[in-house]
Amino acid sequence: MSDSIAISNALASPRRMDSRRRFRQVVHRYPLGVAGAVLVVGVVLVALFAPVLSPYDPTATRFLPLDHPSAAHILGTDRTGRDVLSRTIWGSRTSLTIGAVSALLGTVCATVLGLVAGFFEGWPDYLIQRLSELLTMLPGLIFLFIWILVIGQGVATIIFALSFGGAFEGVRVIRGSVLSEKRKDYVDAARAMGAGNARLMFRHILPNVESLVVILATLRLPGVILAEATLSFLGIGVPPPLPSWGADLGGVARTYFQEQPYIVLAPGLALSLTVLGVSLFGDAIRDALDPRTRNTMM
Amino acid sequence: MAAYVIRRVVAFPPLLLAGAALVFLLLRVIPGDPVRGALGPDATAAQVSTLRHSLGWDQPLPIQFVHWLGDLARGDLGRSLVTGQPIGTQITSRLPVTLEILILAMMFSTALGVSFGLLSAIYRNQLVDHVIRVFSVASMSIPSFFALTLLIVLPARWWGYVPPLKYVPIWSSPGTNLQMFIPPVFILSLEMAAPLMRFTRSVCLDVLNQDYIRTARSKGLSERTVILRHMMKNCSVPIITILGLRMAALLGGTVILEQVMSLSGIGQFTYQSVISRDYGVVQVLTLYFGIVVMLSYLMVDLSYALLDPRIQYR
Repeated sequence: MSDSIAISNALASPRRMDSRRRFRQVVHRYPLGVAGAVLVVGVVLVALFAPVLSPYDPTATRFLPLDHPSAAHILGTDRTGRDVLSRTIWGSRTSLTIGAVSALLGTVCATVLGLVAGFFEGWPDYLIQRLSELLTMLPGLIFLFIWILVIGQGVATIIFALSFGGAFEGVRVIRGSVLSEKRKDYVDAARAMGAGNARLMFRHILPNVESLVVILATLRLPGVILAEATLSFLGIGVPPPLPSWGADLGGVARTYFQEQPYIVLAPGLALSLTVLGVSLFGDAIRDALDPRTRNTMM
Repeated sequence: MAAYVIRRVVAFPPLLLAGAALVFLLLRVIPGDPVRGALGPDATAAQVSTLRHSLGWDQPLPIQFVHWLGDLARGDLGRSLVTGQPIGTQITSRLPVTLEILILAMMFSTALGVSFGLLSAIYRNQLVDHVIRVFSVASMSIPSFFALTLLIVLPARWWGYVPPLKYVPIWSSPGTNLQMFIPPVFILSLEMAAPLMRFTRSVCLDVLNQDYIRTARSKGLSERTVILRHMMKNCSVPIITILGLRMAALLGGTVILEQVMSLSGIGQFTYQSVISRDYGVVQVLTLYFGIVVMLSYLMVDLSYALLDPRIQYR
């Protein structure tokens, strides 16, 4: 736990005398994590300043199709005459928004369900457990297919399906931890002082499983970003003409690789670097938060 | 032991039944009428109701469900609403493709994941370890559809190489078949191997920190014996568990691989039936995926019981 304190100190107190030394410590201890953080911050900045950074409207089709890279179009244009650089820049917004919202919603649902199942046991536990068994019976991608069939293609569908799927993957972990927490003395003490169930669950037990919640969210994030891209690649994710790295890579894009390789390379590399950054950063956070995995996982 | 196996197997059908019912129900609450969709916009109301009646879709849902289960039990998987072909023959003709991908991918990803994970643990914090770990994060970050797309376009651009386009079964021409399957399956396996590698590494490090390893070393056993006899045996149980649990991810991977490489397997069939909103086919294929995943979980449980004598068969 001392590492996470070191990190939060290093981040929270920039004016302290030894902040520079602490920063160096963090960089030394988690070199890959810092590299990941740099990538993540970079992508977030690009997403935030997309309107300033991108030279053209990402959905405008008024340019010459399949134009080679030039001063006007640094990465050329795609087959419908849209600027590849602008689409790649705006794609970061789609990817990060859907990823962050789904990972967050999924983790919140998993936490609430896990708390309920572990705290009350009995029939709510039985119900939640059987449901999670049922829902993890199918490969994730097939499950997403079914949701898209049932509620139709769209951004809301992707967010719903990804959050829902994530919720039931995390329930077991939270539940197990809640089961062991609630037998501890501090819970009895709080109960003796008159705390109700809701207060016990959210004010007393939740803070003690908090690091687990953060770990779940960091584990989930690269997965949901990849899942959105995969669905969009298959043509059933983000609907056109919204810029999405997966969608831009999909369909017939690859048949134009000979003439204009950047149609494939730009969104593919942007996606890979984003996932790489998020994974490396998440690994470092997990390492710092979870004493059991320290130095054993990456 | 026998009682444990029977208990596990008996628990199997109810879960499967519940899964089938859930999928059946979900696919029936879909907005829009699949029958009208299949007949096209020009169909008259009479045509729609005739087809609906002949499919039995005008009956109450529970009765439809029982009929469907009855048909399945008799080996009749139904017909595609879109192409009108029997689903069973489609599945049998496509199964060899998917099975080959699954078997090859299981082999590659296990070999890569376990061996690199072991190396990484044995040479912990040395150069080998760092190289392997960076490689594994990188291969997890590059989405398989991007890597597979590059596999198609880059050799074509650099060397003008085009892989064999027409599927040939492995029994009629093993050379052409493997030339077609090995490169894409290897790419898919890299992505699948990365989590396995990390898991193997952390399990092995856990074992290496145990007292009995220290004892084995201090009684003068060679490092080779310690690793082969003391570490590997104790690592094998959790690793086998995770192998079975990776099956679901691997099945998802076959869908992407078959779609990108235009291989007509079960994965591509699933994708196409989702695109064409062919509910009958989706229903059967979902059940198929559920069965495969649950069988692999069952096998994990059973191999667990076989490998680790400490586990009680309750």
